[in-house]
Amino acid sequence: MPKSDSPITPAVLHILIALSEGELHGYGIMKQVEKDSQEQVSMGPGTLYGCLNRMLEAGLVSESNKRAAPDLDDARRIYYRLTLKGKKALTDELSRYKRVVKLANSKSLATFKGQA
Amino acid sequence: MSYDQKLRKLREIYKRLIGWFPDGYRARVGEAMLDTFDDLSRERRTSGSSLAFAFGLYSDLLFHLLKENLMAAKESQKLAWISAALLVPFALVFTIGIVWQLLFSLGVVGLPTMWTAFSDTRLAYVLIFLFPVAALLLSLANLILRARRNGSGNVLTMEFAKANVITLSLVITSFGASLFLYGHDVLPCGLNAILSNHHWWSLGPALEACLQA
Repeated sequence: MPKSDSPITPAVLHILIALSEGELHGYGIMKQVEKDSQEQVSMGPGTLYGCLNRMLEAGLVSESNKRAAPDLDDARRIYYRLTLKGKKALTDELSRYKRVVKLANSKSLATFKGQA
Repeated sequence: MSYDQKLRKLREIYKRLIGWFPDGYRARVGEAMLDTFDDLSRERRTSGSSLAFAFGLYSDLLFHLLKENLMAAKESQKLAWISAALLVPFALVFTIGIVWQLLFSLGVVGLPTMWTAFSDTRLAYVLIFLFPVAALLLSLANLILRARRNGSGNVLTMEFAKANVITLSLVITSFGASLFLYGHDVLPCGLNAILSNHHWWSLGPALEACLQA
């Protein structure tokens, strides 16, 4: 179960980013992750719902009541949204990434490229 | 069968498989998973074959079905994990034995014998002959504990079987392993040896004689 101050898996991070702009249903999250990653990341329903299950348990996301999805022939779908804890986890994780990049830059890791 | 009929059939199977996820998981995301199946099948209606669609979805589902059940078992079934660990040495020797038998029948290796793998035969007895029995006793104890917790009236139900599928599998597997080990040669031979050559308390030497025969 991810803690707000610990590293979270890449799949969970992608879902958090996908939900950062608003509520989405499961299929919508899959499509948003594909779009955000320029089709580099493709998530099957098993991976998606495995992550969502743990995120629900950890209180990072919550679900809204079923409602019509205009993009899916108005079929009723469960929507997911970020909770305050989820937003904090995303902010913390992005800050951590920034710190890692800063550290890498400070150590001039780009020189490894030339040595490889 | 039309494409829509195939999809309905696939959906029915998918729904049934979702039913095999752990209770908490199913309650939280089971319905949404089925919704996503509908969304993906709508997307695929215009592109791709039903076979490719089904393969991708089912392989993903089955992998996660196994993963989630193992994780649920890991959280709640320590006894089951110990039982499974006890069966590992037997399973390894059994698998190696089958491959060895196959290679022996092809003339690649010599006569298979378990003792070539173990320099200490006492260790082999413990790992191969006692561990599966311990696994059987532990998994039976686990099953009885769960049955008591569940209430005796609910034991012979599909719900109980589904909720305890790992424990039940271990009882069956360890029983099968024990039966294979003792019922095959060792038990009849041991009994015969005890009755004809040894006293009833000399079970160890009798079994040893049978195993080395």
